[in-house]
Amino acid sequence: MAVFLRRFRRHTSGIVGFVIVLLICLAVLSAPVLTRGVDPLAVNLAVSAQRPSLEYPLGTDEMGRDLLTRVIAGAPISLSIAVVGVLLALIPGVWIGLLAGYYEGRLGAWLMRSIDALVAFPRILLAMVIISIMGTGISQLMLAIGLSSIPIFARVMFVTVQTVRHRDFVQAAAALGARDRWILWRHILPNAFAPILVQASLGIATSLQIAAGLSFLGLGPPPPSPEWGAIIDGGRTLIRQQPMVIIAPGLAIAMTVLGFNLLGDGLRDTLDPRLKR
Amino acid sequence: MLLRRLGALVVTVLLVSVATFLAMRLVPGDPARMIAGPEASADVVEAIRRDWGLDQPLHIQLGRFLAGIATGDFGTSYRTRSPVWDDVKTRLLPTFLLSVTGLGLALAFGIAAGVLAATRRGTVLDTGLSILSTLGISLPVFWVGILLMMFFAARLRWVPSSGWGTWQHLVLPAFTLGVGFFASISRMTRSSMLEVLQDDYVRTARAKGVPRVKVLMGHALRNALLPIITIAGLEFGRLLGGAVITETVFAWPGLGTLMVNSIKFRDYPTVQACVILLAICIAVSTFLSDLLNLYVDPRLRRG
Repeated sequence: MAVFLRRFRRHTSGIVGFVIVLLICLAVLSAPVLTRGVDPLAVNLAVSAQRPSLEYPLGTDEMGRDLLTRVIAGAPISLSIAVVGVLLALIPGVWIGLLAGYYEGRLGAWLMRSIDALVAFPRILLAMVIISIMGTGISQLMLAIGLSSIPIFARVMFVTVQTVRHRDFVQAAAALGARDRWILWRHILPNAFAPILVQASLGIATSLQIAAGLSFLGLGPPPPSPEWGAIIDGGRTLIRQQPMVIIAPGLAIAMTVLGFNLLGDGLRDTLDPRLKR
Repeated sequence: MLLRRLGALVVTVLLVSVATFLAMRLVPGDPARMIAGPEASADVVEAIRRDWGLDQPLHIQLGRFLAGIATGDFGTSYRTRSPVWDDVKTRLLPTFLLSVTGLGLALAFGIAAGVLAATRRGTVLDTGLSILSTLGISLPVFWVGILLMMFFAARLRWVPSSGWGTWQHLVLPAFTLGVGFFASISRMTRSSMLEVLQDDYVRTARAKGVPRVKVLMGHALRNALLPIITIAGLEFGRLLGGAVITETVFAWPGLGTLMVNSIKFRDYPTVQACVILLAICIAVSTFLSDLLNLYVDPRLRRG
C-alpha cells in the first residue's frame, strides 16, 4: 500500500485524474447547496434560450430553465447511471470470467468464445438492444449499461485467471489438497483486484459516455430530467441562439470521462507495473 | 487457417441472429397484434398469426427466421408495413461510406501522429500528441459532432450542417467519427513503433546508412503495422457504435438513424435487421483485418 501511494504520487496524470474525480464527487455531494435553491425543472418560457447573464450565470435552456442549476443537478444523475451500471456488471462479470478461466475444457472455452464475440460487439448497440426490449427510463438505462458491461469484466477476469492459474502458488495449494473454491477465493481472486479496479475506473468513463449518448438519442431518462446528454439533446435547436446549452453539459461529460480515464490509467501504471503499456 | 476463420465468421453471425431472435421474443406484447395495428379486429389478428406462422412452435419460427435472413428476408416492419429489407437496403451505402471514410481519416492521421510521436519520444510534440489522444478518447462523439457543426457549418458555412447528397455532406460526420478512433490508433502506433525501433534490424539498417525515412517506413512501420491492423479490425465495432450516434447528429440516412427511430417506434423487426447487419459488418471487418495481416506478414501464412 505504501509502495503504491509513493508510486501514485509521482504519476502526474493519475493525480490529475484523481483530483478531477474528487472534485466531481464533491460537486455531487454538495449539489443541493450549489444549486442555490433554484429548481432545475422550473420552466419559465418568458426567459427561454437566454445567453449568460448575472441572473443566469450560464444562461437558460429552451424552456427557460436555469442552465447552471441543471448541469449541477445532472451530475448525480449521470454519475449514478454510470456507477450503478458498473457495479451491476462487476459481480456477474467476475464470476463468469473466473469460472471460464479456471475450469478449462468445453464449457470454459465456449463461454469465453461467446464473451469474445460480445466484446467485439459495440457496447452501445448492446445497450440499445436491451433498451428496445425494456423500454426507456433511468433504471432501464442503468440496467442496459450494466448488462452491456458484463463481457468486458468477464474478459479482464478471464485473462487474469489464465495468467495466474498455472503459477507455482496455485499448483502448491492444489498439491496440498485445497478445494477449488478455496483456491479461487484465496489465491486467484486477490490477484484480480488490481486489473478489476482499473477496469472499473475505465468502465465508469465509457459507461458515462455511452449513457450520455443514449440519453442524447432520446433513449434515456424522459425529458425534464437534467441528465447531461438529455440537456444537450434539448439544446440542439439552439446552436446559434444559446450555444452554452450544448457546451456546458458537454464539458461536464468530457471532464468526468477524462478524470476517470486518467485515474484508471494511473492506477494501472502504479498498481501493477507489468500491465503498463 | 483461412477456412477456419471463415467458419468462425459464419458461426458468429448465426449466433447473433439466434440471440436477437430470442431477445426480441422477450418483448412484452403480441407480435401479431403489432403487425395488424391497434385498430384491427381479433379475426384479423388471428389471420395474421396464421399467415405469419406465429402460431408455430418456437424452433420452427427460428428456423424460418434464419432461412429468411439467408435469402435477405427480414420480415415486415411494424411501422411502414413493408418488407424490412426494402427500408434497410438503402441505408447500407450511407453507413458503409461514413464508417469507411471515418476509419480512413483516423488511420491516416493516427498512424502519422503515432510515428511522429515515437520518433520524437519525450519531446513536447510527443507529450502534446499524447494529451490530444487522451482528450480524443474522452470527448463524447455526439458533442464533438455538434461542436464541429456549430463552428464549420453554422458559423463558417464551409460545409452543409446535415443531410446527405454531396461529398461535402460527408466531411463533418466523417471527422466526428474519426476523432475517437484517431486516439486509439495513434496510441497503438506509438507504442508499436517504439518497440520495433529498438529491434536489431532497425539498428543494422541505420548503421549501414539506409536513409532515415526509408528505415522508418520500410523497416519499422511495416513491422509495427501488424498490431495496428489487428486493433483497427477489433475496434471497427466501436467505430460502428459511434456511427450510430454520429448519423443521428447529422441526420445521415444510414442504419444508425433507422435503428434509433425504430427503437422509439418499437418496430422490432427493423431493429433486429439493423443489429444483424451491423454484426455482419463487424464480423467481416475482423476477418478482413486477419486477411490483411496475412498479406503484410508472410510468416503468419505458415501457421
